[in-house]
Amino acid sequence: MKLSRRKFLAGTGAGAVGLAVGGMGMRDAHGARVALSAAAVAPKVLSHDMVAPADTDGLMAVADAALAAAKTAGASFADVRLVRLRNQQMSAREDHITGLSDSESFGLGVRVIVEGTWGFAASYEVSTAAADRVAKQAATVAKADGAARGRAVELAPEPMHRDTWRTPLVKDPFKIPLEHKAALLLDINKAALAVKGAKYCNSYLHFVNEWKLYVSSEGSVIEQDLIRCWPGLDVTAVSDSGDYESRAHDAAPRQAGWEYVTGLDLVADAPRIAEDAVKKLAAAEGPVGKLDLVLHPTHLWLTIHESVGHPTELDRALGYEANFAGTSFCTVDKLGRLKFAADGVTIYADRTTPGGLATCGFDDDGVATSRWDLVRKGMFVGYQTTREQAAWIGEKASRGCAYADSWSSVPFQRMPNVSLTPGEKRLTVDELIADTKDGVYIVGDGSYSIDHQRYNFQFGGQMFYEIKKGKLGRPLRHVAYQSNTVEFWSSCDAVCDERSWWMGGTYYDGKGEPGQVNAVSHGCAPSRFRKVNVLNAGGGA
Amino acid sequence: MISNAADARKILTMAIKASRADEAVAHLYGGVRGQVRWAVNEVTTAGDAETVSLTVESAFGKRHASATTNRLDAASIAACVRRSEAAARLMPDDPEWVGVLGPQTYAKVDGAHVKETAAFGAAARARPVAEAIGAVKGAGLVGAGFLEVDESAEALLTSKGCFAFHRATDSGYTTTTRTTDGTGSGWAGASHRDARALDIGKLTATALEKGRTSAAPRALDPGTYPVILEPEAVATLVEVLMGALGQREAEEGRSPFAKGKEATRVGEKVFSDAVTVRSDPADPAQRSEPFDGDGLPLKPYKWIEAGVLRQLHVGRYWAAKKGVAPTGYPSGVLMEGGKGSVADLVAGADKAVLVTRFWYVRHLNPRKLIITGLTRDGTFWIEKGKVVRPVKNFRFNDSPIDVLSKVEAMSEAVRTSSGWGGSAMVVPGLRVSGFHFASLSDAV
Repeated sequence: MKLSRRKFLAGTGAGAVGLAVGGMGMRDAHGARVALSAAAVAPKVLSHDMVAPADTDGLMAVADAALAAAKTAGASFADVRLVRLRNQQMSAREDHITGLSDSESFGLGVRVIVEGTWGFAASYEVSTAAADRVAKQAATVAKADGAARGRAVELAPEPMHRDTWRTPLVKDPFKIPLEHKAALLLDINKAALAVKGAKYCNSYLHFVNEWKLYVSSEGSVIEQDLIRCWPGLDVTAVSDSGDYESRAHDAAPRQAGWEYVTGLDLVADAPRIAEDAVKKLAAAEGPVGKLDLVLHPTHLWLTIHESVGHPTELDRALGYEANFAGTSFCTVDKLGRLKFAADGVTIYADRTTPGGLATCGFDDDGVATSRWDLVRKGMFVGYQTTREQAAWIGEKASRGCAYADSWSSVPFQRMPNVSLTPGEKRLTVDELIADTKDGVYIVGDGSYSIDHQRYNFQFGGQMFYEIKKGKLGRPLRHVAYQSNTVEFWSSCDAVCDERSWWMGGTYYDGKGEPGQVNAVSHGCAPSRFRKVNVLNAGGGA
Repeated sequence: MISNAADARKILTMAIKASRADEAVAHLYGGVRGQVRWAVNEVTTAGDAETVSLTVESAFGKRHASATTNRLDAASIAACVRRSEAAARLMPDDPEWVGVLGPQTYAKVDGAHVKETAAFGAAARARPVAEAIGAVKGAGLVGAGFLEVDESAEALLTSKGCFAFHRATDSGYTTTTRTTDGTGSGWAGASHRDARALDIGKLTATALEKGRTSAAPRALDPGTYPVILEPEAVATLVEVLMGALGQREAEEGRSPFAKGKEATRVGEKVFSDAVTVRSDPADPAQRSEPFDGDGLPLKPYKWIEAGVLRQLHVGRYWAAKKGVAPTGYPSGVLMEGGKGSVADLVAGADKAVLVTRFWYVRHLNPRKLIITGLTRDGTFWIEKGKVVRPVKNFRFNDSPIDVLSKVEAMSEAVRTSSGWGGSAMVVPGLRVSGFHFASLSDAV
């Protein structure tokens, strides 16, 4: 992309666009893409009760100041992110609340390209003066590093966007009274601890609100307001002999409102989790050998994350993460050539899946989000990219995977939601188990570890059950399976249909230096994998 | 940037003065981080970020809650105090709330803040990185690396007059160099409070040597082998071990150090004779913060002495319940080393696998502290005191407790890089009589 042909600072001057950034409460229950209208324009933007920036010039003026300073300092491209993050976490242990924290963080991050080299600077000070200083600092960084840059950074073209995007939700979890939340957690613990043998119960709620205003030198102005909810609990059962086992609930974090939390009915579900913990204590030691695995979505999502999500990150494949997260066996020469999985396996990336943690309207490069295949009918066919990366594999447009976890972090390629397409034939998990002679059924995610090129992995789980001659048998403990990515996915011979498709996820997908987190979801239906190496993690009697 | 105790106290006092709660503690953090990241033999991203945060915890009786802001004007601070108070009032009693601390005395930690490190700007960071890239290119390898130079200040003030302040700088460099055929990969890294002590040239040379010599590895069968663990690998195991040394978990029967009902294994000989692990914020090799998050002074402790488990860490609530002195969570962890270098450990080995570092370490069985993970960036077979050939990486399933009970020899302790997500540790390299490699990994 030839940035010089675009009018620098086009359209971001005074009076061009204002945003209703003070209007946090104006969330549209139907969600996505509420186009900016005159009614949405609010010249006084800084009225939100949680965050009052040091300067009241208005956030667009702050962004403009940064873009202007970047241009003066020689930047061929610049973007500004004004981000406000709110985190509310509450936790309970047995019969009491152990902590409530409510944090907010607001600041600006400015990214520039000067003579083909990136520079970045960020500050918690939000004012036109700070924006000017930060943008100049970003340019200073870019100039200092220019000598050590080889090829010039070029960004794939992207249309200018002026838009907003909000999490579709009914009830903002930040507006739910704290006493309702505390009561929920204490009710969960009480219900769990009513089960004989259950000794400890921790429960928690973690809400995140990520509000951001993205303004670029290409004229894009994008406001997004994302809400995430993560409820959960875990129960520990202790035996008379001092042995213990824990069971974590499978509740997934989602991009959603409070109605998601109440819809899970964790109080009603808590005794089941406690019973599982007690059951695990008395469970038989897991078998060792090559066994068929039926993996429930509450388990399989994490295997997808580690073995498909990470190796298809283009920066990893090309060596950009070599010093930390590692590289990938999915090298560029294998694109379109590597048989990654069995024919029945199609895995797609999607930043538009409703409820997905990585779902949004636009990425942190200002690129509109979309869906595409990573593995199609078993073949490795796609990567996750940003605007800088698209040209590296000859693609004309970015896949929209840039993300920074804070105003103080540099955007780089992060994982979209990566999900397994449900099977086309009607198939339930009961039918799948009935069709399995000798295996293990795994529910829930446990221990997980994978090498830095994403070949060798080893996963535990929450609950393990024997499958014998098509029947679900006794519970097992200390089960783990170890495999290699292509071998594992090639052994997948059945995926249940869309009726049992379910999405798990995490707030804590880690990558980069300094480390950043990314919230991401992975959907799948129960699936079967043949003759996988199962081991016992009990460490002997 | 909060540059001195007086400035920090001023901000914290605004919060405490605004408090209407029975008790309050305000915690302030300010930092400036500068970084350069490079990969594929060129700089990728670099930048500076200045951050600040103020957390106020308010308590009414045993009801408490905290709120955090990064706006430090009087109105925002007062609003943050009000938010924490409003939340605290809604909370049920927390029987574990032990109140805020009164005035405390802290160990004097000299030399944690080095002004030359704080002044290490974009140009000063760019120069050694450009040289490193030049050296890697010259050697015909492909590299990546990360240089970070930080300045930070941490302070707290309670409504009972406990005031703590600590200012520090830190710098770290890590680098990975790979052969162009993708079959070899070598790593090196270090951290120092004084950025001038970071020898990026030497680290580059080490990574290049490892990268070259690790090319085209051969597979060794999985199994139990004697190993030499470099300090970076040892730091990973010690960090896992420190996490498992909680007194409460042990007395609740949820720990590998539990013994029967409410008893612990303190006083037992658990590890090899040579193993002594202590923590001391003021130690010249660490110079870390001398107080815990609630203002509790972090004193020097010997957790493991000559193989005997001496002390478990314990917070204020559990300590009061058990009638013991609280230790807080250790800061500035040091494992005593021996003499000589890792090369001397190699020279003294008959047969062993040399491990540069570990990757993706996760718990497999918390009760026995069995963990899994992989070797990475320089795994070699040693015979008769010499590095014979590179070997393919392994996945291991083993316990730090077992590893530290099979120690045969140690090199001198060095300050490691801060690893992934951890804090820098001062630990030696170890020669260990047996370590369980469970499977092979094709990863380079």
